Amino acid sequence: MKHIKAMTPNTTGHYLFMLTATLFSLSAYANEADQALIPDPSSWTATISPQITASSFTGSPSRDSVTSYGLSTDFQYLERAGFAFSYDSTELKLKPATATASATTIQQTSAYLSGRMTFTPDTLTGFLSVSADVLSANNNDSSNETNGVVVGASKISFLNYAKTYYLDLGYARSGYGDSTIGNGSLSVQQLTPTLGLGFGSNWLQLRGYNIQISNPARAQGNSSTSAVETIFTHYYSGVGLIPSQIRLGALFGTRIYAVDSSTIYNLADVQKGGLSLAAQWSIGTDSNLTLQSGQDQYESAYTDPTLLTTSTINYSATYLYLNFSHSW
Amino acid sequence: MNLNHLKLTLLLTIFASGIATAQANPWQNSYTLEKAGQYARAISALTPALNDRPNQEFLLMRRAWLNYMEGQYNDSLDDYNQVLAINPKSLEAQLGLTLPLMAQLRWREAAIAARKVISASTWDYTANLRLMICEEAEHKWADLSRHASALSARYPSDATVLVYLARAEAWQGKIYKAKSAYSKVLARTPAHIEATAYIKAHP
Repeated sequence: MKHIKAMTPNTTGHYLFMLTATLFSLSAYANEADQALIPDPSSWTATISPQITASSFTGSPSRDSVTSYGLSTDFQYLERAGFAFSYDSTELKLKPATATASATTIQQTSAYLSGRMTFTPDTLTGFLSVSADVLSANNNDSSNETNGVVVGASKISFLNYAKTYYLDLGYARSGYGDSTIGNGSLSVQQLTPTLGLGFGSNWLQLRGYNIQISNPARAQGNSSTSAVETIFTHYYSGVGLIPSQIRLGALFGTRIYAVDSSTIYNLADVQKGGLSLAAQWSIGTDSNLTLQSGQDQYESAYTDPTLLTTSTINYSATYLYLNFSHSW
Repeated sequence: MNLNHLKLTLLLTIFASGIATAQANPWQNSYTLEKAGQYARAISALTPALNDRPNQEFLLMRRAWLNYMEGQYNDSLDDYNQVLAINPKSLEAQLGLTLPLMAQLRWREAAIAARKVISASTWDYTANLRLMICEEAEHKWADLSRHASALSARYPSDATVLVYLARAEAWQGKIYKAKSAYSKVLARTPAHIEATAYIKAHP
């Protein structure tokens, strides 16, 4: 009787309420636990890439080696837009001009800022992208001829949805510092049409370089140069030690003062071809390691400091490039 | 006799008005044209009704679908977004967004749209499957593996989810796990070409 009295309607209601609340909170907890099992994609992807390049010159009476360290960051918003920034520090070691002279170095810093937007118009059935870049390079070159470089570049590109072809047209205008040794000013315009073709697990890219130079006196006598860069990429499964891709690159023709993506080739010598091989490994799902080696051929006028005679010399630069990238 | 005559007249009137309604009914026309693959005309058939009721949710959903089928993906996205503006709770419209986004290979945006459906309805099969398609397209193998494994536990007899699980394991080099998943696929779909080829290549 005492027990029955204790179970008044109010008390029962209280127990039912407590039970319902407990079940509800357990259910919410279960739903939360289930939600945690399902990936939650974010709108932004950030990528950071430290890199190092080491290069040595063979056959050059003046150049010895180049070492460069850099850091690139890239931020991508959905498939709509993105921006990138990179900063590099480069040291070029020069050979002593005479047996008694000491070796000198040129220290250079360069920066790159890029913005891009992508559109998907139904009339084109692919990605239409536009980008605008600003690059700069500053160094302690005593002639000032490779110093104070500012580049404005833009590009319009198209990649079809099937990823079987790609087209782009890039334009870059570079301004260089005025010469302190009487060679005047220099500006360079570059046009780079590009064709990319995808077939099977392969991608072939052909990029033309047409470079117009305002002052041949600062470009080994050239008022224009033309070159074609070819890059063949083969994609693998990328499992274990197998690379996810192998790239073979070759440059045909000549170019000087070229701008290639985030790099300014402000070396005052004419590049006359090049060959490179690169491999990229996937580390987990969000990291990549890229190793590239190559050799570029150059031609330059050289004035012997002792004999004061000028001749044309050919030399090569052999380099090793290492890049690690991680995305979030 | 008069009664029978009246009945006959009534029946004929109803029948005739039925035909007239079918011919003038924009829905009927739209569905007939869609069946014939004439999506642009199917959209045009809805235009008068949409002009009368521009914010009618179902009309917009229907046009969004037809625009998607016609390859007018941006128009389709506009329609689905308009539905969501009218009814933010519409899981159908949110799920609908994934179709034109995936057709435009906008995987991340499609994934986010699918994930919004999942946030409201955790184990919605279609939303989870579309999210997995996006994960595969973005090569997010670890995510796909985890996701497919969890979904497979909820839909254990489904072969499609197991195929995604197997692919994720295979891409990560986890051959044993990939074979295990592909074996389960074959138990459900014995003639599955991809599963057969993988197991044959990895004895």
